[in-house]
Amino acid sequence: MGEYRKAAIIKYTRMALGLTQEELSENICDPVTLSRYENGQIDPTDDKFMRLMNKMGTCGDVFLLPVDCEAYEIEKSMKELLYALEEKQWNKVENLLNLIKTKYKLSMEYPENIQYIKRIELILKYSRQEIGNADILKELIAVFQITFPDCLPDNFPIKKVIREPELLLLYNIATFYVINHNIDQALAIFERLDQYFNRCDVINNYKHRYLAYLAYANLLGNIGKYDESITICKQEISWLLKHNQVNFLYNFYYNIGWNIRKKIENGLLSHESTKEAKVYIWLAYQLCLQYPENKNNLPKIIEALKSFEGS
Amino acid sequence: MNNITFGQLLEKNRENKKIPKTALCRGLCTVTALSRYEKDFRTPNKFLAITLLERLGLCPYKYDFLTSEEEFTLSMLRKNIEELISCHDTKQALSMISEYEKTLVKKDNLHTQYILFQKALIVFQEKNFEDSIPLLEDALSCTDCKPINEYQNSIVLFSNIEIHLYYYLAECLYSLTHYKEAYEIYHELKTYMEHIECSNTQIYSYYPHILYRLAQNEAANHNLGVAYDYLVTAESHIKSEYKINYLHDILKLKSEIEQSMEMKESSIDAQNFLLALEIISSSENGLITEKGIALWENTVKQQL
Repeated sequence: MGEYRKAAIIKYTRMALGLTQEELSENICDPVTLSRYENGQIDPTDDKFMRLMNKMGTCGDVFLLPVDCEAYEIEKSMKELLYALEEKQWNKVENLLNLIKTKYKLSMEYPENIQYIKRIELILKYSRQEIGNADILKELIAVFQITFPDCLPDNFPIKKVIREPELLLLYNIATFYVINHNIDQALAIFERLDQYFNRCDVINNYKHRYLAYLAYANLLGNIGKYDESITICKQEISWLLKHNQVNFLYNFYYNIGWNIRKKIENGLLSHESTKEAKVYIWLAYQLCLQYPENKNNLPKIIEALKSFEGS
Repeated sequence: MNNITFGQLLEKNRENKKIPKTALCRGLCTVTALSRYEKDFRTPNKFLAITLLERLGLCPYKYDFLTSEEEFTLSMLRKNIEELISCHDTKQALSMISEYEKTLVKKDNLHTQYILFQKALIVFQEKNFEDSIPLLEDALSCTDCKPINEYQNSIVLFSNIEIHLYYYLAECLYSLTHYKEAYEIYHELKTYMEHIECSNTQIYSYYPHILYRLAQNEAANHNLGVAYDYLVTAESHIKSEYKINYLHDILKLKSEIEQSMEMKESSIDAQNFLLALEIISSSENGLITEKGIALWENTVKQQL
């Protein structure tokens, strides 16, 4: 039978995250005390238990079966909302957000819910040009710090469990760092996300892993790190194909083709590699055309293909 | 976060879907035990909890729950075993399965089923289909699973692993040219997947390939229209879910049927997409090979 005592909960969450007792107990209690909590010799107070669990990225309030949303009935609406956001269907985003707030009364007691709502509200404001680049960055960082009060996004702890709203916030913050020309901070976030996703205990079912990697690859290419960008794209193509999950796959093929072309233009590769670049961009075209992807990028891909004519 | 308990999750879903307790607990636990779980008087071990959720069509991985030391170690071992098998590292996988068996304090039906399934997969990968079948059948019997065609007109629920077992059984039979038995299983699985209300999308992972197998059967029996419909459904399912496995085979058969039926010739786009899938499947570690580039050059270059 499963044991759902506080001792087991603390110990196995810590082990799953690869944290030592020293790391977890820091600023909360001493390691010896933590060890006694984990052995069941001492029962931690509710406050200590909550602080330990919060540090590990879980809410200590519910330890039997935490559910990642207010009620699982609204899971469908929340999923639809994230999809509409990706597709920039702003009216739909607004409607679904109102539905989640009013009909389902998503509780604002929980920080992850606050983050979920505030992030979307900020993006909506940005889409309506009601907030500028610098201000939205500042606001997104503030939302991020609801659950990470002691760190900046470019130094987020890799060893914690990062929830989907937090991952999406990091992705948005990195994007706005780029827009605001804070390239080093953006790179720092992406590098840390890369380390996070490569942890063997992380369940990489987050759809938005590929959003982050695509943005990372784009940034690397735009700052002239073509080989690094190709490496990221290659890694993600392998991952997507291995997991039989090809959302955004075409973007990675396109990026490889684009990077090869840039290398040729900059004299880093011979003109013979043009054929290789063509094939990657051609593959991107086929995938974007055939899958129900957003077709906004199709004209750009077609233009890239046409530009090969005569070469 | 909502303080929903495991018992509430089970009971609410079961009642909403009008599923009798006997169907949910078949081969897993007694009805009395299930009642206690639903009332939160007792908590099942993690493996059992996951299986109950899967049978209800829920995705258990959304729900964080914490375990005893044994279960934690076992769940990490399971992850390793599956990773080794997916990399075809048979020797290490068998060694890890051995370690799994040693770690078990008490071997219950779910763990036994799991072990048998992994062994069956290893043997299947070695294309030793005859030896895989008894392992799969023994695994199914662990949770009182009958031959799938005996469930007609009764309420039956399957966990993910039970779906895997039936699917691989069908694949073994198919590979050994026992087509009639294979197609019976494919057909029942197709019916199950089309009728179950399910948020656990993992159970649909075999759906397109099952449709493909059924299409092969129909095409062989000259029911080209039926075969074509299956393939169109399979293609649509794969694309809408942003999957790619089996798509090449499905589109190839679809194209052959179009030619046989003298339908309008596949568009250039369709032909090119088939070629693209072939190039992608021949790629290594995300990069296109020389072979892939040559394939493209022989076919497409002139279009650009």
